[in-house]
Amino acid sequence: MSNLLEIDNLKVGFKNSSSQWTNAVDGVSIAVRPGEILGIVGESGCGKSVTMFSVLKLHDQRNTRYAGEIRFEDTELLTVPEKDMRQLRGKDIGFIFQNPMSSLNPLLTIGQQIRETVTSHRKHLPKKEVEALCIKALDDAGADDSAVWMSKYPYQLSGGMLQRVVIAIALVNEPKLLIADEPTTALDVTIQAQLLKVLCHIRDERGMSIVLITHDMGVVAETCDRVAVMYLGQIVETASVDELFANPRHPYTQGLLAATPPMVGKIPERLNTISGSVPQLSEVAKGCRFASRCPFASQECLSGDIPMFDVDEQHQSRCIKFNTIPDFRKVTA
Amino acid sequence: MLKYIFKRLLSAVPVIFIVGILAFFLSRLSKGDPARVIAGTDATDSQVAAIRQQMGLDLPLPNQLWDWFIALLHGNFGYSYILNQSVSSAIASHIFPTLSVAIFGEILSLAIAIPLGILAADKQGTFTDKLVQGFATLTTSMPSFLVGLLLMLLFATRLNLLPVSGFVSPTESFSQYILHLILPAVSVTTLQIAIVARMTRSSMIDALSSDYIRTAVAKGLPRSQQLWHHGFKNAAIPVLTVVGQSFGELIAGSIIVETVFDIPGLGQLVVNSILRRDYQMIQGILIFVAIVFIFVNLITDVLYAVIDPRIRQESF
Amino acid sequence: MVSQIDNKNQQIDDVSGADHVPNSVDIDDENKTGKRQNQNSLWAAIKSSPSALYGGIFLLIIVFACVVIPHVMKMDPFATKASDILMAPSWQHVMGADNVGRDVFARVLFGGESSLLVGGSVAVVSGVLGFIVGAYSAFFPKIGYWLMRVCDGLMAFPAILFGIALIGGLGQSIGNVILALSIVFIPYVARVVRSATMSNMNENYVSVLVSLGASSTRILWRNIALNVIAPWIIEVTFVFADAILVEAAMSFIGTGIPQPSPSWGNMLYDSRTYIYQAWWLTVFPGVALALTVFVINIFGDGLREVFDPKRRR
Repeated sequence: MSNLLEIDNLKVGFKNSSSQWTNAVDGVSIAVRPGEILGIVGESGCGKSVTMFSVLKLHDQRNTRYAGEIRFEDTELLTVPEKDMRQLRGKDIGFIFQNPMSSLNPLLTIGQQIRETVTSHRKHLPKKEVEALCIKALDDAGADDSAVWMSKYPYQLSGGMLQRVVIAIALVNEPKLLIADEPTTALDVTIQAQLLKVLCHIRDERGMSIVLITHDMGVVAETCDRVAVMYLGQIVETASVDELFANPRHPYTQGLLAATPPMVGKIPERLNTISGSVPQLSEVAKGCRFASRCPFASQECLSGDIPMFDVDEQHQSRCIKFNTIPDFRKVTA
Repeated sequence: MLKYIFKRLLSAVPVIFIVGILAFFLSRLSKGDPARVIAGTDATDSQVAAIRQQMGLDLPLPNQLWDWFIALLHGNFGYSYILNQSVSSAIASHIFPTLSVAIFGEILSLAIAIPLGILAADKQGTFTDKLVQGFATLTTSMPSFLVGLLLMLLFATRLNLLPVSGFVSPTESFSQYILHLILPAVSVTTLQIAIVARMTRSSMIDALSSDYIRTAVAKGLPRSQQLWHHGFKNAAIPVLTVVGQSFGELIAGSIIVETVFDIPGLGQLVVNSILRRDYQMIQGILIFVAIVFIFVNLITDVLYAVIDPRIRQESF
Repeated sequence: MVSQIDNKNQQIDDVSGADHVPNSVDIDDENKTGKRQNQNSLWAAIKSSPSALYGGIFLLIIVFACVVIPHVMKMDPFATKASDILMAPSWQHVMGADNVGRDVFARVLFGGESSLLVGGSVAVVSGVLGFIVGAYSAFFPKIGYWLMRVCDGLMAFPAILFGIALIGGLGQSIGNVILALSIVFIPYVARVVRSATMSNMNENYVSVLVSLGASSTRILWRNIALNVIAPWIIEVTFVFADAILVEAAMSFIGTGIPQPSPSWGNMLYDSRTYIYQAWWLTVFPGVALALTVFVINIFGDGLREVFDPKRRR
């Protein structure tokens, strides 16, 4: 089965105020298969959002440069003309943003904001059908009274309700790929769980692929099929969720897992933290980027750029010691 | 909504009240006895006293102030003893050309400044943006009458394309009416274009960096819809404030510019009143313009509520 | 909801006060470095903003040209010469001669002197009085409310018309022009000072300082003042430019600087009659006026950059 989205050696650079370029994403390769939920995890600033924003080229064009390839079905997104790119946005690829309160235009009704998503891609659709599509999308996103919501302004709805609206906007054109950038971070815990359920349900019903960007290992365990762990602009480990949680083969992943309360069993008295802090992108030296915080780092880790190693066919790690580092349960015990 | 409008109307009352008091003291500022000025140099004392009584100048100051307010409330802006005509009727017979220039100028300024400001914000930091900003700084340095004179110099002596003086009533010939308005309107509005374009640019830049614009991009909306429907709608309130203020400035500007283009409007009335030392008239016109200004601000307040549902909400 | 309404009013306040009020917080700078170093960094900031630097230099050149040159060269703006009437620019009259044979160059420079005198005096007078009114109404909100309503009332009169009406009452002279325009511009300055003072009193860092035990005078003068004086100076610069424009407009319709004293406004009025024959009568005073105001505006924009690098864009 061919991949829906393939990102190949993507590099995204930003220009700062003194006109210097820094690569926020440095050689990311990842694929999204049809119908799967792929989780991308990492600390804030690791480049997970930057990577997925690049898929729709949402960065400010004037101070961003891209290199590498992003293929969506048969289209090469980095070189596609702006006109065709616009057709993909909101139609074949839906996007859910982090903060629902600010993601919606405060001066337009919910109805206007969903409707225009349909009409800008399908100009000649009769009004009634547009309306029906909008209501259906809101229903699918879990709105309890879609028709009433349509006439409301954003300030009249709560954060959880607004995030459902944002999901409905992303869904309304039945995209093949849904990218959700920390969709639940700004909301409280009970609503988080409901919204994650909504996303899973949509995937089961419509068979679309979902990329879920998050920093929460718990969310990954609950929702995703596969997961990619990012650190400082690079992917450090990819595997299926079960494999990753059972057998993490990168010290950073191990650290992340050790910092998360386990899903089953007794919660340890204290959770581990990863020592040190994320270095600045501009300070990245040769070799493994995690070396400065890694308990297993040695001289050879700094000798050159580290490639991805195959742990097995479905499991890759960017650690030269992937075979020798101890099992993390023993480390934390 | 009605409640909101009512609240706004109410809040304008103290300002109108203060404008009235200020204007009253302004009218009592002039040295010398207005009654004697009106009566003429060779009038007898009893003639002067009669005029004083007729004008109410013999009453105590608070009573005069009270009378003044009662008159204002009746729409009476004073009486010119020199023209033997009420200020309101003089204004009525001169207002049309002035309003024509001001309104035409306002339309021009909106039609040019807003797209220009949006363009500059969209192309922020590029050559186009710098060009718009440079134009704005340059034109904020040119008073309307100077622009008028320079246009006149250009059109009268070089191009011969447009009429450079006079006013034609629209009932006489509508096309001539418009043609005669073009240069005066451009003159009064150049400065306003700069101000409105600047404000549009800076408030558009704020709007364009917001999350909902990113959402609009991710939805695949055409750029024009992102800019106008999402960006400008949110940027409009500060712009509207400036536009509201600009209308008063446009009226004041056209009063000056009328002198350049020989237009028989309020400006001519002002200039003639200066020559005649008819300060009642000037003060009456001043209050009239201030009231127009307050009224236009009220309209902009109402428009805020039309644009922003949250402001609409606040009154309920 | 309340914050939104406040926000809207705040915006309007900002807008009406000619332009934005910068809000930089420089506590650290102020405390760690000595006064001398502060001056150095101010100088460095001025140097780093080309607008402020070149605007300032050109402004000095204009002031020098208008205030010093005509007196040193003993130019006479009133000398008439029948043979020179409406003479085009030449070596004899670099800017030509007017309808009674007076040298336009001399008149432009003398006109500039009175324009700068009026603009500068109005900036100083309305700047000082506006500061007092604005700061006072920020510290005493009840009186402040009514002071601001008076300012609203004053600002409802367009500057030019208000100036004309005041001159009508006061009588036409250069002193009265200054007096009238100072009254006109006080509310603009007061509004900027008030809103800057109030927004700074509400800033978090003020309460932080209070909780650190700073004395109230210290808070006022070392911190708030810094953040109020910057927007105040910027506003005063723009009043300087605006006053020159309004004076020119008033002189243009005959209520400004009384004839035969030259002013750019009354020279432009006279030029209108000869616009078909003598372009130089319009162009030179016009360019002088626009250039001067332009330079002051650039200088003001530059000052804004110096005081508030955050808003530079």
